[in-house]
Parts: sequence; C-alpha cells; structure tokens
Amino acid sequence: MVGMKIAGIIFSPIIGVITGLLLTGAARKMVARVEWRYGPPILQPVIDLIKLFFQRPPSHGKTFDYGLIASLAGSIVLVLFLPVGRLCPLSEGGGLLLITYLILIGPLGMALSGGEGANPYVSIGISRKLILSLGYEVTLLLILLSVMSEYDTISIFNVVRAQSENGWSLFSWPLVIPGLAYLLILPAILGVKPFDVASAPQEISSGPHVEYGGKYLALSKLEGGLSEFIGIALFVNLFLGGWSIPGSLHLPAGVLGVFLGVLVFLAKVAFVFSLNVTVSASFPRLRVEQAVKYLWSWPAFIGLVGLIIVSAL
Amino acid sequence: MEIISEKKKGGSSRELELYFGPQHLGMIGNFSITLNVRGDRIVRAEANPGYLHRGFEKLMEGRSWIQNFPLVCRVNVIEPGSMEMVYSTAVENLAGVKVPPRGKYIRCIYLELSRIASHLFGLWAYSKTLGFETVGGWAMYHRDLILDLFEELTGGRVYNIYIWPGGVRRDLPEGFEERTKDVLHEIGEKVPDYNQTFFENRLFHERARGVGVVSREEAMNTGGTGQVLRATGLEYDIRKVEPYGVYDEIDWDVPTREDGDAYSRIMVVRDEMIESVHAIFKLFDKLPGGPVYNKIPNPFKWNIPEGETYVRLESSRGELGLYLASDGGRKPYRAHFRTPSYPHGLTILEKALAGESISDTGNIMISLYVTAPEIDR
Repeated sequence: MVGMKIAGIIFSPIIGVITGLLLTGAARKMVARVEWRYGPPILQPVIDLIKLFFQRPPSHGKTFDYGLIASLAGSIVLVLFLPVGRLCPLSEGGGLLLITYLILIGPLGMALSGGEGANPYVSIGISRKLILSLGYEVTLLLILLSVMSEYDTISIFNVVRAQSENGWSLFSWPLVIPGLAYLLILPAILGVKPFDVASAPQEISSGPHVEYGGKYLALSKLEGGLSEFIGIALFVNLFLGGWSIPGSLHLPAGVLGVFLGVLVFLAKVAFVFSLNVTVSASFPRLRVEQAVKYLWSWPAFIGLVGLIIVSAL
Repeated sequence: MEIISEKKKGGSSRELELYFGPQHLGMIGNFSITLNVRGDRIVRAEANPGYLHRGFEKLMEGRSWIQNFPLVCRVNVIEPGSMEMVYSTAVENLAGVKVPPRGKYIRCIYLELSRIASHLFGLWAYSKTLGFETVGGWAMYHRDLILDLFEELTGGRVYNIYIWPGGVRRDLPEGFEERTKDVLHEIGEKVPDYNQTFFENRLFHERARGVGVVSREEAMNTGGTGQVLRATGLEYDIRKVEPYGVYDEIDWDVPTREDGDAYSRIMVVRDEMIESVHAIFKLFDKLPGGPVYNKIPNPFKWNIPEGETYVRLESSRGELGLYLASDGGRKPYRAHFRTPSYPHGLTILEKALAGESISDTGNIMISLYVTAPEIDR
C-alpha cells in the first residue's frame, strides 16, 4: 500500500501535467479543424514548453517568482488529493472541503505574482479572474454540498467508490441536477470561451500572462494545463464515476487494474474536455458582467434546487 | 513602470491610462488608441494615427500617371480595387478618356468581388475581436477563394492593378464566369451556417446590441459614411446617389438598419455581401461583348491637360474620394485622398468609445471598419 502511495505521489502530478498539455494541443487541433485550418501538431504545447524552459526571462522581483511557484505548487497539491483513476495518494485523508480551499491557491498565487509586474492589463485580468471565480464558486459549493450530503461523506475517494458500486451520479436521481449545474459552470472553471474573460487576448492582451516570458510563461502554462485537468478531474470523480466502467465489468486488482483505471479515467477526462472545446469553438466571448450574470442565474438556481432536493430526499 | 500614469481624482475613483495598440493582441492594423479608464469604463479615448504613414500623396507627385498605380492600391491593403478605380476614373476625367461598355461591366464585377473579399476580411477581424475565431476562419477561407479568382484574372492576389485608364488590363479568361459563379455559390451555401453560428447567435447580439451607438446627426456632422450612416437608416450609397460604372443599369438595393450600433453596422455588412453576390450575377447576365479598354497614348510621353477633378465612389468602408490636379505635365501636380476610415477612426471612434466598457474597444473599432493604412496614407 505504501508503495502505491509513493507511486501515486510521483505519478499523479505528472499524469495531470501531461494530460493537461496534450489536451491543450488536441483542443488547438480540434478548433483548427472547426475553423477549416490544419492546426499545429498535438505535441506543440510540449515543444513550446521545452523551448520556453531554455530561455532566461527578466524577473520583476521575489514576489513575482514565488507567487507563480506557489500557484503551481497549489495545483500540484490539489492533484494529490484527487483520485486519478485508482492512483489516489492523499484522497483517503483529504476531502471535498479541503479541495474548496486548495482550488483558490492557483488564482491567488497568480494574482500575487502578476500584481508584482505592475502592468495594468495584469491587474484587470486578475480582477476579472477573481470576479469570475466569485461567479462560479457559489454554485460549486452548492454542488459539493449536494454530493457530500447524498453520499454522507466528505471523502472524494468514498464518493468514487460508492459510484463504482451503485452507478454514476450523473445518471442517478437526484444527483443529476447538481451534475447538470456542474456541466454549466465547467467552461467558466476551465476559463474557455465564452468565459475566457480573464485572459481575453483581444481585450486585455492575455491579462495575467502579459508580463511572463520564458520560464515564467512555461510555469504559467504548466499551471494552466494542470488547473484545466483539475476542473475536469473533479467532475469525472464526482459525477462520472472516476475509474469505474459502466455495466457489471470490474477492473482487476493489482498494478494492471491501477493502470487500466487511470486509462479509463483519462478517457472520461478527454471526453468531457472535448465537450468544452466544442462549446468554446461555437461561442464568442462574454463581457465579464454578462458572464457573472449568467453564472448567478441558471447554474446557481439549478445548483440550489439540486441541494434542496438532495437534502429533502 | 513609466507607461502607466495614474491620476488621483479624489476619493477612490482612479483613472488609469491604457494603451490599446500598437503592441496589443487586440489591435488589428498599425494603429493605437489611448484609453483613459475608470474601473471598466472608458472615460476618454484618443486615437493615435501615424504608425503607417508612407507619404503616398507626396510620392505620387514624383511619378508618372501610370507609375502611380502600384502606389494607390497600397493606400488600402484590404480593398485595393476601389483605390485603383478612383485613381483611374480621376485620370480618365482629366485626360478625357472613355471606357468601353464591356470594360465598365468587368470593372464593376471586379469591384464587387473585392467588396466581398474586403467584407469577409472585416468579418474575420470583427469576429476575432469578439474572440470568435471559428467564423473568422471560415471568412478567411472564403476570402482566399476570391483571391484565387483575382490571381487568375490579374496575376496578383492582393494588389491586382487590374483597372487601368481606359478600361481594364485584359479580358476575362476562358471559363472565368463559371468559376466565379461556382465560388459565389460555394460561399452562398454557407450563408445559413454563418447565420446560425454568428449572426443569429445570442451571445453576438448581447455583445453588439446597443454598443458604440452613433446617431445619424453625429455621423453626418463628423463625416461618417458607408455602414456608419446606413446603420442609422439612411439610404446613402454613392453607387445610388451618384452612379458610376454601370451601377445604374442593374437593379440592386441599399441595405439599411435603424439602431446605429455595432450590431446594425455588422448586419449591414452582411446584407451588403449578399447584395453584392446578387449584383455580380446580374452583371454577368448583362455583360456585353466588345473591347475591354480604349487605347491610351504612350504612358512615357503622356501629358494630361491642365485641370483638376474630384472623384468619389463607394468603397467597402464608405465614401472614398480623390482630388487630382494636373499642371499639364507627365505627373500629377497634387493628389489628395478622402478616405472613409479617416473620420471613422479619428473623430467618430473617439466619441463612440467614451462611456463604453474596455472589453468593447476592438468591437467598436472594427464595427466602424477602421483601416489604419487608409488613415495614414
């Protein structure tokens, strides 16, 4: 068991980072095909990252460096608390409440670092990012409360295990309601269109990323890929049954089972991500006030109704 | 950092100065706008032209009448056709050269094709400022099909130099009419897709309705033409008001909208594209035979009699004018362009931006069809 834990601590963040980067590459290819272009190779984000790590960019001070590192570290710690397939090093100890705290470290570290750069576009981008998180955090909390009260646990690991025995939450009454609410706010959590207000290149010149170059840009890209992975992984774990296969099939025990579990999990992540890419390719960007107005109307309403129904039943 | 100047205005209201361009991902063209913002709102906007000043009007005084063609088409990158047309009409007026009927028809076909290409380019730019690259990608693909036609017709994809004093440089190639119609059909078949994904998209309506409103009085007082004026419900199109070419020989409509906002302007552009496609079919139906140009004297020894002229026509962005004077020599004495983007990008843009959200800077700028090279010349 201890060996499995160590393997999890080593491999979970690596899987998260690689999946995040590959999904970004795949998204660029998909969007390019929608736009009748060829698009870059799927490995392009990885190639860019390697190139960026060999550059020596100027720094804007210690807070600029450490804020970015704190942001990446926060995301890596968060991945350790999420079951990645059956790799779940810390998820038995940590719970959904811990995740609600950790999920904010990424944007806050970015804010700390970007604020040091003193570029007005960075501050606008960060304030937009925080306003947007204000928009979806309430709904996310409602959804997490629904899940916790339905399964009577705050452990995300137990939630996934319960689903592998009783079927996926998204297809079971009454958790389908918070599941739908999560699907509605997922583009905002991922920061894809129509909710990419924080990094809108055509409005605020990529916002928080504008002062980053070389290694800093690489780190912020890593963080971006990882936080995309986290947003979807949380959904897959809570509503699509994590590593479990539909029907009466069960994964074998042992290393092979862990490996297959990770593959099943990643397939689900890729599927949900492609849904979001489709949404992102078919909508223009909203203004930030329109985005918050939307997030506080239907998704929040559905989330609230879901919580009421779940706690009443 | 030096580039940020913060002005305390008492209390918590703080004014920031932002530079939208020339180094900005949202800027399309070599142009810059200085925005004074408070919170998310633009308090004051100042347009800064001059990043693409090439001194064409002065350069034209040093070159012969024919040598100026490669210069004039570069005044505007996105629609060089109208530039060639306005200059060659001015030269014809001064020299008293007549154009044969077939030449006139081919000119109009060519001008309408470049209008569609220009509008597709504009649609790409506009959808990109809204972060909607999908439709932009389609528009660019369709523009490329038209550029392929230009390549076959004239040898050049962007700077065609096809219109010539006395007509056009050469006749339509064999089968060109069918290929043009095929391309137009291909674009026309995609119009429902464009409508569904973009023009009828609710998010586009929410982003564009009521944004950057320019009233009819404002537009008329500040020199607004083209879509800016037609989006306020005024049927003002030089092709109708003062017909040139053969625009009075075919039947076509001037599309208008009422509200004067970004949405109305973009919808006018959309309707104009469709109207242009119809116009090309009608022009092909009536296309007469005969020569496509009348011979002009040896360009190296071409002295044009003393005189001056002002020619105007409807470009894709609005009224395009050219004042041209000759002192009886081989070169123009003075040339001056009246380009539509000049009033749109300098006066109207500044007024339309005040009080709007900074998210809508590019949205308003492109909906006014501001083309930087045209302002600077």
